[in-house]
Amino acid sequence: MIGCLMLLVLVAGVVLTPVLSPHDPFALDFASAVQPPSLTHWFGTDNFGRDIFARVMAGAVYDLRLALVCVFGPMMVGIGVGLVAGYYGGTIDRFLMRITDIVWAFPFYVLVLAIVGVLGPSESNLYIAFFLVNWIGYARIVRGETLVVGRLEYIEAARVLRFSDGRVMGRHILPNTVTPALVYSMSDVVLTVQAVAALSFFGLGVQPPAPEWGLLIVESIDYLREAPWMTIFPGLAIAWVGVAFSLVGEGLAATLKPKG
Amino acid sequence: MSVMVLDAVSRRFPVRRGLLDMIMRRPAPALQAVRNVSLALREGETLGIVGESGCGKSTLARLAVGLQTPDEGSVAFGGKLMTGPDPDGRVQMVFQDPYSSLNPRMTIGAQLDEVVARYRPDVGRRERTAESRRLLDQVGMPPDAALKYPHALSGGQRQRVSIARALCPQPQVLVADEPVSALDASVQAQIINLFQRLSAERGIAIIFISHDMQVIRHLCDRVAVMYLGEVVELQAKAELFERPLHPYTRGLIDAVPDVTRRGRRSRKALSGEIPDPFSTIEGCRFSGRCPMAEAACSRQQTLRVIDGGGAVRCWKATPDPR
Repeated sequence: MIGCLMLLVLVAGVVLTPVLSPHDPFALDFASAVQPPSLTHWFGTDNFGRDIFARVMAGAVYDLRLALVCVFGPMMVGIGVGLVAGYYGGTIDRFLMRITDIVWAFPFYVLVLAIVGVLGPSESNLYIAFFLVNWIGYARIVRGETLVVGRLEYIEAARVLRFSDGRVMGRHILPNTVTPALVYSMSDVVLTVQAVAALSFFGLGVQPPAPEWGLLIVESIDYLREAPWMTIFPGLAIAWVGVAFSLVGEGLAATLKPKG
Repeated sequence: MSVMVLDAVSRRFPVRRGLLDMIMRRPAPALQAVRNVSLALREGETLGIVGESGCGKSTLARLAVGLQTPDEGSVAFGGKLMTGPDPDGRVQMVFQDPYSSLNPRMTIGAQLDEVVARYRPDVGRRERTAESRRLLDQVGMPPDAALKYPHALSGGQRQRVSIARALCPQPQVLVADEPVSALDASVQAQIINLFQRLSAERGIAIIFISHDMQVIRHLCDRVAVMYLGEVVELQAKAELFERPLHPYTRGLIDAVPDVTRRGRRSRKALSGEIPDPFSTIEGCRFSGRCPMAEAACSRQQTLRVIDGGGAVRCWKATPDPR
């Protein structure tokens, strides 16, 4: 509940930015550079005089888009892989699980460095990196759950009733296995927001002058003593999203538990 | 006419070997759940299968519906060999645990609609609900149960729904794996009566598995007694309870408390434990617990036919004079 409310506040902030604080997040204004938070500039301004509130809100679009696409896209893939591996078992299972082991064993940041090294740093290459890696967790969770549920008697009944494999997996196994994956996805969003910010911080992700949160932080560290608001507010934004999604995940876990 | 024939079926479950076993080159141990069982299910009859826990009853049930395939031997339904569950759903199963035999995330109605859609393609989308309620009615459930989720039903009600689901494909054989053992005694009676009605009104052949001799006595036409994966006795119900041939059957019947009989009676309750199913005993597998065992029992025992159509796997068995 509180988590949803926190996300709603963020979304409202993003949507209402033109009304609340009508500053262009990209417009340079050296006359009002490095000003502390005030009524006109709620989060203050940076060294180029850009309004930090406007930039943090514009950054939310980048970070949330990246995090959501990079979590829910791979989640679909992972759930599919996990279901197929757990349901069919045998050779198919071994083959798919060896692939996940290989990807799992590969250090994520090294993979990103390699991709960026070959393709150059950009937002789209971040997508590639996350899609290559993020499905693993879901595949493992769903496979494990499928192994458990697949032995239950209602699945045996569905097989004796000769329902198609697709129906057994989609209608009977999936709804009973997907909850832990959904709950995990919420904490995954948190981790991914942080990873996106971290990669951008190191110059491997989103490129300036985009107001991505990690970039806002890295651009501000030279002014940390004189203008701490430049660093604090993007950092708070990351923490805000993290707490919000964690709470949503907790709520989901409680709501989705089957009754009885 | 036999509707289903199990011909010398065996089923083993190999156990994963540990690293040490591999180094020592020990062969993989296998749990012999069902060994060399031959049974013929006659049209419209109710065949009881009785035995202790772990004697292979449930494995036999899964072999009969095609959820498992036999390692040796074959299962034939309607004259054709079965490889997996019958494509037309004419062999259905009712499971032991009413709590895990229904999908917890679908309403009863949705689960029945699904079966109707699969087996009555001529029934339109609109009429499906009516058809599902008709199925519920057949097992004595009110139509508004269709809107409920399984967690809102009692064990007996869930078992009725499972039976309704199994009836939709109009099965010729219904395999019931301990369908009443998880229910209260009063509910048990209702479910047993339901099975009796199905058998009488529709002529469905039923394989009814139970460890409860009284339930078997009430419901079945013929009874097969299983011990450690083997059928040790097969007789018509009346004969089995009147003159049990195998000492194990006698033990099972004697173990049933009888409130009508006055005074003490000689209860020869079975002692000892069922042997390790991994073991490979050569002779009679019951000899370790048998009150009349002797040296000759270590010979291989065969299921021999006796007068009156029954069969017993004990060389000493003679009709009991009591």
